[in-house]
Amino acid sequence: MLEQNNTNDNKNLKLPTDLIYLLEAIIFSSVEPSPLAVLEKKINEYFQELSLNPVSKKQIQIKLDELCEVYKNRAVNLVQLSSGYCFEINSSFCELLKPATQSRSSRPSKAYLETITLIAYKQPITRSEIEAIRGVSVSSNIIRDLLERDWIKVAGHKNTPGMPAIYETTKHFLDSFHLQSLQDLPQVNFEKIQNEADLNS
Amino acid sequence: MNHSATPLEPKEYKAPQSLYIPPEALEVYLECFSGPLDLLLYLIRQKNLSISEVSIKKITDQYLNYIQNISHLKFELVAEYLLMAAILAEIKSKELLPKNNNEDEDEQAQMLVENLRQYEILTDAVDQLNQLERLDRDFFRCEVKNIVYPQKQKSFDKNLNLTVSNLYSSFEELMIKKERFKKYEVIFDSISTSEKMDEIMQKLKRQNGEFIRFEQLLNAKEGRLGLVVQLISLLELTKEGSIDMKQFSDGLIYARAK
Repeated sequence: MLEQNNTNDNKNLKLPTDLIYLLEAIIFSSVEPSPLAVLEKKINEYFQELSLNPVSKKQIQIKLDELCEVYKNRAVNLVQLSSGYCFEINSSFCELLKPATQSRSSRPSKAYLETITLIAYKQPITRSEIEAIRGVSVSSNIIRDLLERDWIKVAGHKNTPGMPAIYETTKHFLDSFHLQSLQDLPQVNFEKIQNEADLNS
Repeated sequence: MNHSATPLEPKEYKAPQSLYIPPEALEVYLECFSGPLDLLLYLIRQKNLSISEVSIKKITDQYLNYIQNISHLKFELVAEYLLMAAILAEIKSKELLPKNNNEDEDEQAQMLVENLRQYEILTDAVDQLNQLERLDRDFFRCEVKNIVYPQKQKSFDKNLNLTVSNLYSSFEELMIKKERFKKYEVIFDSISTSEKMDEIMQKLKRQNGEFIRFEQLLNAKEGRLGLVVQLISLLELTKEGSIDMKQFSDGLIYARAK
């Protein structure tokens, strides 16, 4: 028994404790972008197991900035997205990588883009409100695809006859367009159409 | 717009004077517009006009020209275009009428212009959004799939108390377990009514015409199905008139052969 404990201790001594590499490992292995809070939790759980002192968010932030700097001039960059940190291939390699990924990014239709644009700018919005502006019915396929792609979510139901779903964009949508928040959307003069619902009713 | 430009670029397209588009082509052509507002906006831009200065009358003629050709085609596809045609035609017809009430007459036209303006803003927004860097189109995420984290393995106990008798007893246990998985086959006894009728008749005949308790004729050992067949046989025999069934004053049912 005594012997076993000793080996455990020895093993722990060999485990890495360098914050910057720990962060790199966590972010790289995560499928979804890692928010600061999650990083802090994982690191401190790990440190607790090793009986090490916990680290603050600020310390982690400093190391993250350092790590960003390390990857700055590489093909792979560490980027801070709306939902957290993640590794991305620099967009200048887009041409090189395109053939392999072409099928995934099949060109969205005009109707598709119009729908997501309206949801992005006019959220929260119902389907009939989208239809009022577009002048055509919105196909269920588009809504379903947007939901599956995790670009939009149902934020609730409007308290009008039929209880239509209210759509909003997700954090993943912001991540997908390299936006930190909805305020970063390109400026478009959408104010004029505030009372479009009244006009169409 | 780089990524969803309409196939008909303004340069290679001449404003239709005597337009003829084969209906089949028009169907394809319509599909590249996202709706009647899109088509209308396209027609207006074609003339290098802005929405506010466009004459509904002129644009109506042109729009109807397009729609006429397709009205006999797929209605699902063109329903919304036809609705717009109706709105345009209504506005136009109102404009042709002598004007009585200035406020009222323009309302519908104004609404259409407002809709068009909104739609124009939307197309602008679409262009801008489409120009943003987009995941899986312009940049790619590093994806690590199916990471297998080394799990803490159950350590083997090297001091396992393994002896021949241990092995033997566990084998024995297995054999006992195996016994419990014996297969049983359910065999159906086919009981025929006519056989049963004969049986009952013989039984009754042995009584030499004396009455016998109804219950005595039934054999519960043959199970539910057997009892049903026995009852049917008894009823059948009664129907034939081969036996008598009677209820006596004691409330019990008796039977005898005739």
